[in-house]
Amino acid sequence: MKHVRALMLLAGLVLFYTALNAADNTPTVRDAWVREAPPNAQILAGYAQIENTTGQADAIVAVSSTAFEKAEIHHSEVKDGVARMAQIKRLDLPARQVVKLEPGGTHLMLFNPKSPLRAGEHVTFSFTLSSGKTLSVDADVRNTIKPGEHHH
Amino acid sequence: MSLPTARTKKNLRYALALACIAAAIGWFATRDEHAGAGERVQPPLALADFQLLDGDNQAFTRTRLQGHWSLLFFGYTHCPDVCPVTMSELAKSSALLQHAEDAAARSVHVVFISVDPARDSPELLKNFAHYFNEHFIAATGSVEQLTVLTDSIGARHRRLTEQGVDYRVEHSVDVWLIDPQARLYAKFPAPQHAQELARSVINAVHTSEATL
Repeated sequence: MKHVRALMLLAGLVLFYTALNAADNTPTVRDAWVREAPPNAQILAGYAQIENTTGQADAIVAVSSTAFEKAEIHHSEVKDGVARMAQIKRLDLPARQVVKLEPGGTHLMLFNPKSPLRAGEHVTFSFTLSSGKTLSVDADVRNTIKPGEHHH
Repeated sequence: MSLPTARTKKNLRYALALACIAAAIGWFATRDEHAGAGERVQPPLALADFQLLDGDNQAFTRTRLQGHWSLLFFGYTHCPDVCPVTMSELAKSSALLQHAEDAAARSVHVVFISVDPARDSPELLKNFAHYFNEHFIAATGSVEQLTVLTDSIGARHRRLTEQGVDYRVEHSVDVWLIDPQARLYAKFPAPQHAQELARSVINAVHTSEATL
């Protein structure tokens, strides 16, 4: 009986350590923001930098937010002066690389905000990764019109 | 040091070829960065007669582009990335132009034309345009009338055949400078930059003053 208890304790410790290690090895998100839009805009865009600090390739397979009805990843492309957008169902996060979601490129496509969002407010996103992990992301709403303000 | 062998000569040739390719890439990349300076249309191209509606449901025709300079941009409000980027630059360049010496440069009209009339009502468009600048004009119309204008300018737009309300629209992202005789004067390919837009408008107004 004593041995079983010791084994269980050991197994518990191993599990705990593995979980802790996994938490340390989760991709990190920096500089997440949402572009402030006209009050009646039905689609907004969000941006961020995702750094996969781990040695394992991962991918974002789903995005959700309580502030929007639906969130997707899209890519804007200008070809021969014409803009096109396409949905990206799976955004690869190669090991030890930074993936940038930025204006005019890959971005979060945010449908039907539940309330108008003003600059300075914050919204939360949840990125579901193919590894099974979930990233919780805090993004601030920014105004990009005022002269002197820069994109990041 | 030994004399160059055939092998090192070959390597040298490869290195030179690579350097040329790198230089070409660099040249194209920097050229693109300065594309905000705009491309002149010579001679200016008269626009066709078109019939659109502005944000107040008033007729927006070619005559509304006469007597002052205008910057036109085609887009739609369900475009959250590319369109607001250009609209923001237009808003910033408008603010910069308010400090221009030339009255003609200060009174440039900015017109946002939606190529998605099914979803963008004049009221919705007015709100959208005014968010960026309260003096911006919004307009739209039937796909046929929009095409009369875009064809005459050389712009393109196409609604993708997708089910549901979240369909996409492909559209030209250039900004078009129209002179006071409602003629296409210059085109600014994306990505536009507020300062270059403002500078180019001031130059255009200045250069063409004698001929208008």
